Amino acid sequence: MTRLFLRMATRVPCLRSGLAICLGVSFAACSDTTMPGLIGDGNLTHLRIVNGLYRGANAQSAVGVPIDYLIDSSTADAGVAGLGPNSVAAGDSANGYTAFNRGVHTFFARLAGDTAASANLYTTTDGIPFLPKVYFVGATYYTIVVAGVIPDTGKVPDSAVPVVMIPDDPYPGPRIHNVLQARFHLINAATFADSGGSTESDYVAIYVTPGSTPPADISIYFPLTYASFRYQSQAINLDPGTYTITVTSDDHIIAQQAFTFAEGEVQTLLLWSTGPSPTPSPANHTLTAILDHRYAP
Amino acid sequence: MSMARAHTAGSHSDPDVESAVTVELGRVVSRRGLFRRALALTGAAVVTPVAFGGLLPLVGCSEATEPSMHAVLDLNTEPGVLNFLYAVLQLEADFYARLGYGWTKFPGILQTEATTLNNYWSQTQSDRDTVRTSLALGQRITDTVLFHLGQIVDYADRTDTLTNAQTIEDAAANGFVGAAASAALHTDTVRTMVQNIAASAVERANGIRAMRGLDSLVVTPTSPADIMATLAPYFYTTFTINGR
Repeated sequence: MTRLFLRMATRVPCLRSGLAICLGVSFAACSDTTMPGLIGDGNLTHLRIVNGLYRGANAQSAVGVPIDYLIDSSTADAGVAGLGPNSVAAGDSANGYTAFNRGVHTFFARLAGDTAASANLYTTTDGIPFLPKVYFVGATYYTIVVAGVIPDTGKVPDSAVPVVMIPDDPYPGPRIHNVLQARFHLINAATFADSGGSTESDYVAIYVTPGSTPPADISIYFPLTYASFRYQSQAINLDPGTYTITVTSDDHIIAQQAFTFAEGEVQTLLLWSTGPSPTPSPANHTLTAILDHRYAP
Repeated sequence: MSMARAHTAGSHSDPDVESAVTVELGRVVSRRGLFRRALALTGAAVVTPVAFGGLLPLVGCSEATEPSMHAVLDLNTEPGVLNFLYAVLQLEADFYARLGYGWTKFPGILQTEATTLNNYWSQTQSDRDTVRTSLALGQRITDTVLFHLGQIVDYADRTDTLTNAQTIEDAAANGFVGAAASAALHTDTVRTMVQNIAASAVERANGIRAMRGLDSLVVTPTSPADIMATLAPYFYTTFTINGR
């Protein structure tokens, strides 16, 4: 019907007139002044690289290893060389992001210093390296998570290190009672969070309790959100203040730390395994907070 | 101005209209030109809502024509009383939807509280749908009553969330009990339905009060008109109330 009317409008002068009137009225009538603007330059996208890679024959003997991450075949610009285990690339800003031009880019993850063309940790079902290409639109924010366990030698099995690019949400929380709420989301980069000893932990539960004192019994509380391995939780909006974040896997606490959220802050919490263990616990897991953005109250 | 521009656009291929353009708009127009101009406006008026359906809502911003913006509750009639229940139950269901499973909740929420609030979500949805199906399409107010919940309720704060829950539930319980006694309800099955829904609301009010460590509600049958005034800050949709 739309096409028919447009076709008619271009051929029948009087309909064209009506179209002009209606379009004019449609665009002129009301305006929405509450639409938030995108932050940042519309021509730039932003990437943050996280290394949660381990190498070893089994979960008990694996150790964290440094990686190189090449974007468009280079560790310069948005890429990084020698990114240590359980760490975030410095990026070009305090929140770890590096800005680069929107468009199509290629991605190559390898053990640090392994310059062989076949060194890509991203592999097909046949263990053959491949070069993912991804189109990024502008004014977006992504966290690339390189996490998993690879063998000491030989091919990298398919899905040992999948291509994971998490679309981040650095936008502000709601304003309630004239207070701009803080918000956070958690990225689960913990390779050994599964209490069954698997390196492919399914998900962790995230509890948030007011104050810095850990609750005596977390089991009476209800988790506010969850995060699967290599993925992110929902964003949680919080009134400014200090909260204890408790992370459990299969009902066992694996991380428990207090964090303070100021008004208008948006934070990313990264969950790491600091070492392989058949028994995940706070002794071998940690949370790292990154301030993504602080909006003016 | 738009008329003049429209008229000019038509002049390029139509001598009748072209001659008219040389004079004041609308002063000298042939019958054919008049017909065409009328067709332009009529065609635009009829076709544009379809062609530009996504834009037209911006045109009006008229509370008089948008059913989600304004509704009338005639409390002297049975459908009017049921519509009162329908509006309040939509509010309750929307309030609890933001606390149901799959949605984030206030920090420190207990397992028992989350379960209770999720049950209230299911319960209010069910009651809302029961009332909806009891009202014929032409009788009932919009199915999408709009609210200010996001501006009023701090869902990240336990006290604020439960205080607002209590305000809504106390009002609903008192109002539904008041409605159940309304003379406008002349059908026994309808009155029984309203009584059952009122009993559920009283149960929820007491449940919320228990979460806050307060005594149970002392039910005070209240007229629906008074309850709508109490709950008015939560509604973005405005209501004209006839009767009590």
